[in-house]
Amino acid sequence: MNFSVTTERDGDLVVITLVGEVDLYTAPDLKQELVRVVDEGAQRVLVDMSETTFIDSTTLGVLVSGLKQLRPLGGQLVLVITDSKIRRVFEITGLDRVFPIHGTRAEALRSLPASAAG
Amino acid sequence: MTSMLRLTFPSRPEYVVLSRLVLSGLARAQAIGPNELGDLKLAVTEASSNSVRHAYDRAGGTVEIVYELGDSHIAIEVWDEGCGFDARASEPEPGALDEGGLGLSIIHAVCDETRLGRASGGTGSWIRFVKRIGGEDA
Repeated sequence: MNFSVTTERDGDLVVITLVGEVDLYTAPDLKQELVRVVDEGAQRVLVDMSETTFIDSTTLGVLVSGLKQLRPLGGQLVLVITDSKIRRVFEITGLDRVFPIHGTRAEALRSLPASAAG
Repeated sequence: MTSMLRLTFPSRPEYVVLSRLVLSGLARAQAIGPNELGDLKLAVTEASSNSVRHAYDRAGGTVEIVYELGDSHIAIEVWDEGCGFDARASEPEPGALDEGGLGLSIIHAVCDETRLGRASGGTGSWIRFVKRIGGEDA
């Protein structure tokens, strides 16, 4: 099963790209990365799932945890999703109303204007 | 005609992917639409992940999955030696900011029938879910 998490950082903006299948085995890698970037001061986090081929409720739990970490700090977490099957998991659980979901990275980045502190 | 396939694996996260790989293989032999296959992969992943999580409390064990292929449905049963399927987690409201307990809601949403209970002998849990297939182009 292919899976990778890569992180690009530009000030308080962090883009995490998830490639492959995210499940009980691989989701901890995403969690570790989210915790790390928030601890290091990320305020605007974009998780790009355009190359993600599978997610489950474990993945959702990790993203919710990241959002809960960011919100008290005034931070934001937005998602890029292109696959209808991935989007369906958010819709089933109602989390499409919790996370801002965009169809392209460019659109997602436009939704994350630089913060006053950044 | 109905045929059966059985998978047993150790209760460890790295093996959950096998539950999906079996479905990929079955989709080569049975006409399953891409969305139907996606729903079944999601449901079996949720069920086997629950079993793996619960079995951790018992420091091991196995997960057993039975795939039943009918002409117009696929039924999947997942058995474990843990302490009960989602027994400790109440299902959160849709959209609530809970980090767990969504697995059973997802299985209910993507399958046509769901039943769950205790495995025979009183320990472990069992879930069976059924999805009708053939409703889309394979």
